[in-house]
Amino acid sequence: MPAPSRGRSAVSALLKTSTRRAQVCSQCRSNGITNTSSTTARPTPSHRTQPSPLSAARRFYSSEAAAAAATSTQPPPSGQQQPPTETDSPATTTTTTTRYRIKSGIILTRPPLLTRTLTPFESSFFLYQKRLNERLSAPFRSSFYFKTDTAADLDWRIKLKERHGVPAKDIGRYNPRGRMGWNDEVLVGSRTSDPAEVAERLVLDAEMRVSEDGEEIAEDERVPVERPLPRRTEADEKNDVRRLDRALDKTLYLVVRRGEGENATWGFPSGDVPTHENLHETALRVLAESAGVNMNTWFVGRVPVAHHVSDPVVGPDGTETPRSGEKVFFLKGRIMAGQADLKGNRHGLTDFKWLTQDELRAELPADYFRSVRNMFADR
Amino acid sequence: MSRCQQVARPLVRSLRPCPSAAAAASQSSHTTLAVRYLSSTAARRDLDKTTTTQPGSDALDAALLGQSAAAAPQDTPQTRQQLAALGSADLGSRRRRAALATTGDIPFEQLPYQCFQEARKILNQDREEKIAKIVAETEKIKRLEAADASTMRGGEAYKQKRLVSLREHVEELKILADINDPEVKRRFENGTGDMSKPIYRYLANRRWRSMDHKIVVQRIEQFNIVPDLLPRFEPTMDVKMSFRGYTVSPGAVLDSRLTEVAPTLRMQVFDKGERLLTIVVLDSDVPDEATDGYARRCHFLAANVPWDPSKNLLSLRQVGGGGGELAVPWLPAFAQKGAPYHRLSLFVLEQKAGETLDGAKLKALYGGRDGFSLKSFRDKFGLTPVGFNLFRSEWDEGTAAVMEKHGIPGADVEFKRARVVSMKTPRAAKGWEAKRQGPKYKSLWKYTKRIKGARFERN
Amino acid sequence: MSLTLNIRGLATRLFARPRLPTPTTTTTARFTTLTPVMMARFDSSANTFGGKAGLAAKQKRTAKKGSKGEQRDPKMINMLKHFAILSPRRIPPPLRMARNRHLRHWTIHRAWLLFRRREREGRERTLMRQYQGMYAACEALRLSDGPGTRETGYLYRVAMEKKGVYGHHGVPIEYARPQTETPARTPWNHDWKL
Repeated sequence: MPAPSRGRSAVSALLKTSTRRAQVCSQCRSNGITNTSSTTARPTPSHRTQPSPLSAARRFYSSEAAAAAATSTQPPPSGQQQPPTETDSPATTTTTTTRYRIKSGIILTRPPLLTRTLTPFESSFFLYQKRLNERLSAPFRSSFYFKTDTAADLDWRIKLKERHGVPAKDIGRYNPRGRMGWNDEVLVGSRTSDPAEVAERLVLDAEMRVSEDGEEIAEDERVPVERPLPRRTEADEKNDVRRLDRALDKTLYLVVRRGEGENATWGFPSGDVPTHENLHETALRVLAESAGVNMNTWFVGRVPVAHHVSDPVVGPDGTETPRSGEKVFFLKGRIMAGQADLKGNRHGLTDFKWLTQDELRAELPADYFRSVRNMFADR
Repeated sequence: MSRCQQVARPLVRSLRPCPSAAAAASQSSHTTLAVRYLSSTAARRDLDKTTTTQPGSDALDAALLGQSAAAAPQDTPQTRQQLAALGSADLGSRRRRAALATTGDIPFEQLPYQCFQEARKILNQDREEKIAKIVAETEKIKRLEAADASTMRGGEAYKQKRLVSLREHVEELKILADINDPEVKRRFENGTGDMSKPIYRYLANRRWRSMDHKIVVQRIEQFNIVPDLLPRFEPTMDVKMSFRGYTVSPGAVLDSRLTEVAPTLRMQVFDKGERLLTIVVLDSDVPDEATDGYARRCHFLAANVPWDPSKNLLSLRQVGGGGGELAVPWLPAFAQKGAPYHRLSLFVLEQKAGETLDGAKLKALYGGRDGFSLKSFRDKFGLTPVGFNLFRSEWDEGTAAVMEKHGIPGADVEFKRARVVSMKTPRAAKGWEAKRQGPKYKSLWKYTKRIKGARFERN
Repeated sequence: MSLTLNIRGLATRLFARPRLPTPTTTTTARFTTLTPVMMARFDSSANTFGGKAGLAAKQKRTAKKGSKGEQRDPKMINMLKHFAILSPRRIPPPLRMARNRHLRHWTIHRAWLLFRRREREGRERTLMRQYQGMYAACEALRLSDGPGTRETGYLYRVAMEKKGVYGHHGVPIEYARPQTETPARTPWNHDWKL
């Protein structure tokens, strides 16, 4: 394409978009504008019935929703829609079939603190690879790392002897350069590859065996090395579901109980969104109001990760609604420190729990769980 | 040399019937033969079969191929017994003895190595998943076959398309279910895989595509088989050619005494099912003085050869007997003196399903051999070219004898290049050239005067 | 890899420089750490590099230097010995496996690939599921009337705004804590106060 025509096309494209935008804008604002004064603006229903392909491609969601609503209900004869403020009037409530309260919920999660446990295949594969690596790498030369006849060197020599001359600490008794160097596979039932066993050996190895002046320390005088803590904590053993230091390799979710006795239900903290607030503002406020402020939390974005719709219960005559419908949009939050505290909450909450995904399945109502289960992580 | 070969070497050396000076050259191949024959893996079928026709021709063939004759190990009960001892736990390296002592009679699958057993658990689980999927898909196929096509939106065409894709998926799953099995790998490497099973066909195809297919494709391109013989051609089956028991690589220049008899083909198809094949050998470089160009000639033509993946070997000398119809018998490859090399290409064409070609008609059409066009042959009978191999032929010291033996005329003809005479008139020497025409520069005359075969005068 | 190469390059450069003094010329106490085997190796390497004439010339040179009293630091010798181990000649050859052993290795390798593949696909499925959940929630939000008097889709529009989401303090530093194999001394701080 030659340069002049390219310029022309660019300009025409610009022009096209500007005109299109103008169309759409007028259409978008048609709710407000047509209501107030403008008679020059195109009437909305006719526009809806014959949408030009251009405007159809760029139609805004709000106008589309309006179109959907208008097709389901009878459009006003004047072709002008009622402003949303008037929806509370009895005339409109009879025409619109369902009204929902918008609620904002917060799924507060504690991320896993520990890595997952290794599968037996993984741990045995790692040992297998370590031994192959031993076969392929240069021999270990301790004099490069330990100055001769220092305490560290003596200590190393003692430990090396106890490991039968194997420099590596976690591969068991295997010498790649010996006459049985080819026999590098561990037999079934061996515990050499067990991660707990490996950790035990590393801890033993970390103990200093020689004093500063080169004397070997007797066994009862050695300074014990601090052992790594167990992966299952005290709260795990007691199954204390209120504490956050349980199930450390899984995600925990905060659920609260609303009401007392028979009609008590478990669910995530949630509250109504007032007109002047947004989802995330409400979620922040609701969390502070229901579970206290002593939690270091962070909201992962403002986009809802799940939603739950409960349809209104319609009375026998069709007009009365014992329970109105509600839509709860859940935002995802993370807790980094602190603990929930229900004292003085304004939402009628009586209890809280930190549960894993599997425990949630048992605790939450089935349809509620089905609505939110898509947001769960693997563990 | 591998470890087991090292172990077997002394024994094999003592078994060798005639240790001669030439044995040193043949030692490596010899050892390999013996070891392969004896190893726990199944022996290849062809090793104890000789493919030569005349008993005395071994030395000749070997000389033709530039190899020293390697005598096969003698197969007597005694040697068998001795070599069977190789499998015992008392022989071999320290490592082998130790390994046999710890894991002697345990089958490979149950060797008690931790990581190996954990790995097998993972693989077995995957295999079970795949098999469950195969069962489910087969059920789906059955349901679809039973369903009425008129109820579907796409009609019969949609149903057939869906069936085809489902069956393909099942085939794929069958391969995936077996591809991680070490025993399958071992059997395939031993050459004992059952080619009627999809996994072995898949593995064979993969191996062929890794090298041999590439070579064949390269030959097709560099010898201009496309577009000289066919406008386009993609080989999909493996065809290997061997003359007098010697496998030749595609495109090799072969001695005319070697190509005197028809080759034996080692053909492998990679898709399931029975089909009929047509085999054509044609020479595409027959010099034609009349047109000052090249013509084609059919050297061999056989049709209706039944073939399936489990078959492997086909001797072109016995095509008439065991299935298939010989239309044009083998004509030895030859090239007259002075002619450039002849490309003799072997094509394997697949016939339409359920159709046989009329042998008498083929004889009548192509019995004259000359002017054979592969493309028109393909179009006339609706064939699909699937396999290809190639060798070349040149004039050599044996060609005359071969031609005489088979009654082919033209052994006394020698082709020469016609000299292109200059159209310019001869002109007198001038300048530098003229000064050096005298007897003083006699040493330069050989470049300008009385050049053999050249006639400078125009007639 | 590149680190190893560099070290090897350093080793060759060190070797290319004048050899260690031979035991015939200097017999000072500083070289007692050098075992006879090591010395023999250095000598033989000199032999292979320079040939006979080269060796003679080298000896002459080292003799001169020895008379000057230049001696190599023991640390340097230690280093050189270490690099000698890393030389390609001393690195073990590639693994050679017999048939059954190779088949076992192949089985393990295939299982590992399969395992990795399953994990990867599981991760992808989870992400897909989470995305679908978010998509459904957003779609419902887009089509619902706003709270109170707000028009349809107002909340959706606000939720899509990215103002203040990224940037400094967008993600708290505590969130950078990696997962560990065993818990900390106090696994969780329950007494955190605002």
